[in-house]
Amino acid sequence: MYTFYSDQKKETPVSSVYRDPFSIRYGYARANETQEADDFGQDFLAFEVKERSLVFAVCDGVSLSFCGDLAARFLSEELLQWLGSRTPEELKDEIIIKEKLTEHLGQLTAKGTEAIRRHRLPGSMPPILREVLEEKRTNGSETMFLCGRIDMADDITHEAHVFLASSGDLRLRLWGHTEEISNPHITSDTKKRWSTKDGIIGGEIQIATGGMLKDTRRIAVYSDGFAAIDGLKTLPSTDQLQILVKKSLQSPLSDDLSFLDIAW
Amino acid sequence: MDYRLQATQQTPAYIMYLLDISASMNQLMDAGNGQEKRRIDVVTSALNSAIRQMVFRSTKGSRLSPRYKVSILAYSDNVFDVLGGIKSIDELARMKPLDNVQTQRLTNTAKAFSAAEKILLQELDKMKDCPTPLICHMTDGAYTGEDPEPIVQRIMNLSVPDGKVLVENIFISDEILSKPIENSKKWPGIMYETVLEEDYGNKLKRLSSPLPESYREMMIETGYKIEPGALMMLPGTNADLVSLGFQMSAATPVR
Repeated sequence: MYTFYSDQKKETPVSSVYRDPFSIRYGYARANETQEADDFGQDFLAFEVKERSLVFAVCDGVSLSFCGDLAARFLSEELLQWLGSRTPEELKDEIIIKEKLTEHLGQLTAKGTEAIRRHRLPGSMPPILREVLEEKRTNGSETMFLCGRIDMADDITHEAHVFLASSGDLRLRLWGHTEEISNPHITSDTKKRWSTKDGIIGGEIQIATGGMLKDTRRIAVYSDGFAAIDGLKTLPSTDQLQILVKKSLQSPLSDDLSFLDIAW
Repeated sequence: MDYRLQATQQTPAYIMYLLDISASMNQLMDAGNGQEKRRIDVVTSALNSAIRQMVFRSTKGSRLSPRYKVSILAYSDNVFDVLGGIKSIDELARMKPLDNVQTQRLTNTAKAFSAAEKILLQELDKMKDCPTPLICHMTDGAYTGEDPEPIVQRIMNLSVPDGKVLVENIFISDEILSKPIENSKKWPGIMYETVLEEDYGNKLKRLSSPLPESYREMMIETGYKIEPGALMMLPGTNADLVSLGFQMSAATPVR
């Protein structure tokens, strides 16, 4: 088994690991201003490889909500657990699994709200900031997410059962044997997210599973902080990716950045 | 030049408030719920709400990311720099800047805009990558002394790559509109063709920038119905509209 959970107070340079049958590259970096303030990143990245299956979650906490970093961490951990406890068969029926995941995301609000209620704010801060944060606390912590599970089905053809679910503005790229595959099933939408108070808001979750993903052999998921790679037709080497991470962080608009690339 | 640049810690939005503190600001006005308050009290309360809105839009985790820079100039016969220079929103959050604002006598609007122009000319070079600066002017009556129009026109022609400097006017008056605005949330805004009942209102209309679409989108998100083509001018006939004016000033896109 191989597990990675991002440390929201530390950068993880783009790294690679091979766990049969998956080649994985991943990286995590906080926005420049967050590093300078030694604060928590609002993104969270987690994945787990167990036998011949991989589960992952990438969350981008909404900084205008109450401590988006909390929702991002909470939901990533919960999604990983939920995905890990499904069977590949269960994940194949788009309509049923969408219903089940939507229901689960709704049920998580009780636990999420409790986690937010217990969160202690720093002792010293201007009263107006404390008032604003307490007001935000009542509206909950929010995060966007993209999660998935890949179960190897055939070692000769490299066909896998792939399940993906999303809400919000996380970037998803898919490749087949050689070329990038268009993906109409999961699209970015900044209005959609999950809230500890209200569950899914801004519209239904998006699901892609079963036959629609059977030709997929590689998946990349990243947060908008790594928009620098949006225009690249192929993903560069690990070293070059790290250079692009550094460049992204130099921009005045730099944001937290999570990156996950899985090939099989 | 489309007012789309986002305010960030490295590229903060700059908002300058010019507040008329002439004697007439002691007059009472409709403060909602059948109550009346002094104009100056309605204004300071609305400005405090705008500062709170900036704080709201600047949080990241439990930290305040300084996405806004603010100046407050109060004017009457003379101009007073209330904050003692430009302050970032995290500095401003630690101050109580409006506790001791006292009304004075006259309304030397030209002097106030002259001071604003001087500050802008000093600062504009440092703001090339930032959202366009905005001057939010609040007054309750015609100017005394020199005509401010040429100075305001000069200011409106200053620019950064994001767009020409924005000037917003909040005109507190009971007589500016022929019909009262019943619900500020449904109000479409003042357009070029809107006829105002007061000459000075019409002058201020000429001295108000068109509301950028990015600002309008933000206002729509917060429940207002301002329509395309509206000007950055608010008839301050009641506390709600004064508040809307100050909320508008802080509607810069943020990261």
